[in-house]
Amino acid sequence: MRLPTYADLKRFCEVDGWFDSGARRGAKTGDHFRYGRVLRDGTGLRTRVSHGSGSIRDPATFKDILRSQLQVTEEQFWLAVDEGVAPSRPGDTPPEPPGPGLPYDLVKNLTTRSGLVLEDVLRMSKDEAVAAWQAWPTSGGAAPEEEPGSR
Amino acid sequence: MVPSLKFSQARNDFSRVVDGVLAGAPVVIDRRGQRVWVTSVDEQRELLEGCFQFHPEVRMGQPDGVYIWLPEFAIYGEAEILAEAEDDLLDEALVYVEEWLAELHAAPNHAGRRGWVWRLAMADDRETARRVVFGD
Repeated sequence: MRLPTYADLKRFCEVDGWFDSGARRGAKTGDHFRYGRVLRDGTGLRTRVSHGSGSIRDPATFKDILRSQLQVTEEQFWLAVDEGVAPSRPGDTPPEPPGPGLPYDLVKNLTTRSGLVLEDVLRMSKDEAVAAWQAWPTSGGAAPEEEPGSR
Repeated sequence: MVPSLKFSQARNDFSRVVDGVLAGAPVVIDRRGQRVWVTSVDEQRELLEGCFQFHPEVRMGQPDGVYIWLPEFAIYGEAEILAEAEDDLLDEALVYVEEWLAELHAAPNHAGRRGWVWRLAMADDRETARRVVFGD
């Protein structure tokens, strides 16, 4: 198993966007740099990197650092160190970007005339909302005179 | 049932509340529905000791060095000899406690460690902290 130098660990923290938690707390760093990172789901990661030119010399401890402190695989770690590729983690997935909004007229018609609930309407795509409006019984299945959202 | 006092009652008669707690009678203080359990440090320490043991694991480095992993905090100490690795781990554990009390307690992956954190935080000095982590 390839074992990391302290410089490798520091490099990983830099590539992965960790902050210097020792400096943030205003604490003395002692023999180690201390780094932290907060994932989008609130998970708090922390690790330390010793000063000097040494390395982690125990494979079991390196595995524990990967699993418990950095929360990445060995492959992700070395990809970050060697090629500068930041890892992705399950707890750190960015939220889905919001879809495009629906036209006001379409929403108004569906909620006031078709009797649909606003929350349900807003979960629809524009195509789904138009289809729902066209399927409304009193519209006879035809497109409304003025297509909702045309304004 | 443990007696429950309104916050204002407890504040006005705090000396008697503390006397009662130290005599072995814990108390609940209620401030608009938010309740605080008051007990003595010695009793709390004794309770935590029975439930929150530390299990440090010693490992040999390759080709040399000694590592001690502390699974309860997911931290490690390292040095050339065991006694120094113990010191290094103890330093790290005390830093962890400081960070936990300041902010990590709110993180979902750290919140469940409170029993071990409190045990160590209640240690009066470094030697007591050492016994908490490594045993007598």
